Amino acid sequence: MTLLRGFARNPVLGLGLVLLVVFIWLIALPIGMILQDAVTAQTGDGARTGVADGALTGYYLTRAFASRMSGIIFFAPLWNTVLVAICASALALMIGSLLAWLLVRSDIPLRGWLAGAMLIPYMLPVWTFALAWVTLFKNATLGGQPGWAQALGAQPPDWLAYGAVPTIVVLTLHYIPFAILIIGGALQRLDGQLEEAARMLGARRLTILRRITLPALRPAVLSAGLLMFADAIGEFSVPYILGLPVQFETLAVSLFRAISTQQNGMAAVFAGAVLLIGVVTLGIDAWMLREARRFTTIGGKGAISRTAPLRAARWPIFAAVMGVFIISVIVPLGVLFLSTLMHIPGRFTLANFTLDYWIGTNLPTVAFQSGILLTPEFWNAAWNSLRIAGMAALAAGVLGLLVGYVVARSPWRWLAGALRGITFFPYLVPGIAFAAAILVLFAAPRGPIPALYGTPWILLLALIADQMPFASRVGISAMAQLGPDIEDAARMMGAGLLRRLRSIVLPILNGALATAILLSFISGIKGVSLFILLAVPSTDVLTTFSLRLVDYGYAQAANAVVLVIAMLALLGSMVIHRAAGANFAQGLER
Amino acid sequence: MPDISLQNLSKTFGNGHAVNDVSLTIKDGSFTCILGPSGCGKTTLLRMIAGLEVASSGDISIGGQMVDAPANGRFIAPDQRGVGLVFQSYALWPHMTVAQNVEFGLSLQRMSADARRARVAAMLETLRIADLANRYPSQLSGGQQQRVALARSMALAPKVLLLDEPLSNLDAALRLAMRAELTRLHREFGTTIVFVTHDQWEAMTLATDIVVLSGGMVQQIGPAIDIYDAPCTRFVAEFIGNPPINIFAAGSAAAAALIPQHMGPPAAITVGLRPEAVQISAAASTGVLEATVTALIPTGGSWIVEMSLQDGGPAVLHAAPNRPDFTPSQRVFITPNPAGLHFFGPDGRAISVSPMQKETS
Ligand SMILES: Nc1ncnc2c1ncn2[C@@H]1O[C@H](COP(=O)(O)OP(=O)(O)OP(=O)(O)O)[C@@H](O)[C@H]1O
Ligand SMILES: [Mg+2]
Repeated sequence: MTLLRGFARNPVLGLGLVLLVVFIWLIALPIGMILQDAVTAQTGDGARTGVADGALTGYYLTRAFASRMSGIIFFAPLWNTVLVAICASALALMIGSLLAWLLVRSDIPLRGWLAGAMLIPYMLPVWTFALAWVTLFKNATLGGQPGWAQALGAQPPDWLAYGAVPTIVVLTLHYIPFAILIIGGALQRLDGQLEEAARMLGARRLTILRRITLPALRPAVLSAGLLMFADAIGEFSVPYILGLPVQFETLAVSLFRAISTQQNGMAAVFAGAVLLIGVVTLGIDAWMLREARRFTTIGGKGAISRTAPLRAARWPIFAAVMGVFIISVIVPLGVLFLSTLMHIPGRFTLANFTLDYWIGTNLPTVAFQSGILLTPEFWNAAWNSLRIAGMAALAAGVLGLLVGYVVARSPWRWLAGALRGITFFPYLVPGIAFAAAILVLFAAPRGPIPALYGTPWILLLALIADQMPFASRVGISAMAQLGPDIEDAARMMGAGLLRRLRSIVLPILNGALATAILLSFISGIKGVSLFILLAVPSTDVLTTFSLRLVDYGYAQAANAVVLVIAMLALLGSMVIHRAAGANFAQGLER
Repeated sequence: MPDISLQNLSKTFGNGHAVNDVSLTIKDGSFTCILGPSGCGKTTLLRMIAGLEVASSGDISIGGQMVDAPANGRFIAPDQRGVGLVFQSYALWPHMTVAQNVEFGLSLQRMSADARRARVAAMLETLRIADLANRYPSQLSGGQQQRVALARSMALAPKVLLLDEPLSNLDAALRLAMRAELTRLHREFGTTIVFVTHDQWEAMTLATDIVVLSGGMVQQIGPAIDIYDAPCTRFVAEFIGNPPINIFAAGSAAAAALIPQHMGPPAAITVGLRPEAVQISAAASTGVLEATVTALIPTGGSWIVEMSLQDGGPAVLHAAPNRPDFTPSQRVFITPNPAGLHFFGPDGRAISVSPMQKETS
């Protein structure tokens, strides 16, 4: 009774509880269910597990960890995953730190332009690079059209064309901008006086770097490394494209295969493993950040950091940095673009060039006989992408703001804490594992909710949940700037909760909200790990559509679609960059 | 009619009492000030009257109508109380112009557009900000924002206007102007005004009645001059008055010298002496306490003489209207003016002394 009165008087509590229930259903429940699936006999597995469907069983765990097959089924993919993740993040960290230092502290030519240009690879969907790689280095192991190297008379060995090496290279190229962002940011905030003080004491350059600069940057470097590692663990598209021909599997790919062959129990084990690695890594990162905050001294005042002169090395170093830019932006995009204009890959004769793959008709292929821009499936996927990513971004933005509102205004501290925690949780879970969990929840009808698999709804809900960590953080920090008085002033005049949200809170925060929505939208447009398990042909988005084209061997069409996605992502990022410069880096960091 | 009456009102947050068992009546048409140091619960008390905070226990009635009584589950929403509140931070809506800020409350009351416009124009006129109507709050000075905040609250013609530290964010000149403005509005509209401050000067110069609050509890209620002349507690005596009252600790030789014989054992009595009641002379014969001048401090229109007692203890201050003809390190003798002497028991409460008894001390 008093509780009811409390709700009537303070609708924030009701709103908070509703949000909490929604997020338990959308985030906690699916993850709980998939973990449960790993130890429950799945339908049709009776003969193998020896227990009735739905009963407790250790079969899947045993099979993964302690059977004759474990080496092939689990430990090889695990090893591949960890190898790729460690190598790619370590390489990106090394190259990224060097570039960050050059861009922040040296007098390298065109510094301002480079600082922006070097971030472009991170705005592109990661498997853009994988497709470009295949286009270039494909060899006879994979049938169909030849790669460019092959067409030019070379025969790239398997280790160069597929598997671990290209996966590591591609992921490294993708992560370098991320490392630049985080380490460069830390370098910028680092008080130049720390270094100058050491120089006053007579320390030499190298000593300063080793004893002052590097230790001060250690938290940022470690954090960047862990974030990249966690992201690489869940990465699906690159190992999927590059590993296939040589049976190089990572856990994410194994998870995908298990689901596509209806081995739900094994899929749950893989998802659990990916999830565990993700949670542990990002947990360590979160813990370290808290530790690091204790001794961060953000100088700023008088930190006019002098740029280090590169002297004679200035132009050679510039050339090297341009080299990285060319390799990670110009070459992949150029190769993909040219490949969509050529009948036979790698043959540079005028007669071989064509626009057929974009706008042709009556192509001599089994399916997709029209150019991609004349194919209804493409427009269907594009429409799906726009509408799903758009609606999810909008919903996540608004939900994030509401979460921020409850966190800021709830008189119950536990409610604020619970909402903050649960909306942040998907951040710790790699996309593909989260998708698997969502799939478990929505594969069958539950209560009033029908089975959503096969409808766009499942993509939409998964994307909303996936965007919540970012959206709720934006909401929470935006609301933290908005003192309660502003609203109480309206409350004094009889404005109810909805009216206050509509007339006061939303108009004041619309800038932050718009940026958050646009960033979510871009990440939804280029995301693939989250969608690959959830989309069916009729609900394909651009990313899953292009992977399907890869599967069917329509290389030109697949490349064309990826180019469209890349252009959309790039364009969107630039719009945000123009509109809200500062928030841009923030958005990339997640 | 709208007397505001608080009965045993308390408010607890997780960490203890913000307002503790407050009972008082604010008379209709009065200009009442709630005065107390930072964190004593002034804002909380005001917010409970406004209806933005629900009381933990006790009750509030405005004009005879019970508006908050948790014991029987009664609570009237803020907008139904006929009360306006001006926030310490002004809380202007940054995305609305001055006119829109003032108009918002009127549109919530479903007033017609024409009536709204007329009312907004009248309010802006009253507060002399008509030429700012189309500016945004970020384009206004602090004093102008204050006027907009006042106009916004007064547009709804509240019977009671609550002001939270209305002058604290203004510079000295603006304070004087705003003070005059508030007095004018109070006279013109006859609105009951309750305002909160930690500044005793503001309270003394503006209010008809003062409520002194400390640690969430009422220390004393009354007209300004009563509170200065007859503080109920040592806290009130120390809080009100500038320069602050001189305190002689219980048991000290100075205190013993100042306490009249008939008051009982002097060991437990603390003595307070207002600085303007300190009379100094260079001649030993008239003095009660012996001291050395340590500093002469000009405070603009008047002077403060700072002295240290022969037997230690905190510095003694004397306020003088003209430049005193003493020099630092000069030896002087202090005689108290009985009217400025106050005595406090161990519990901090004042021990009353009739004026006649004072004479004899
Ligand atoms: N929402 C709240 N939650 C917890 N404690 C609170 C809350 N609001 C106020 N308090 C506490 O109640 C006490 C009184 O606060 P209040 O804001 O009423 O003080 P105040 O007299 O207005 O102070 P100031 O002069 O600094 O504005 C303080 O100790 C404060 O910390
Ligand atoms: Mg206050």
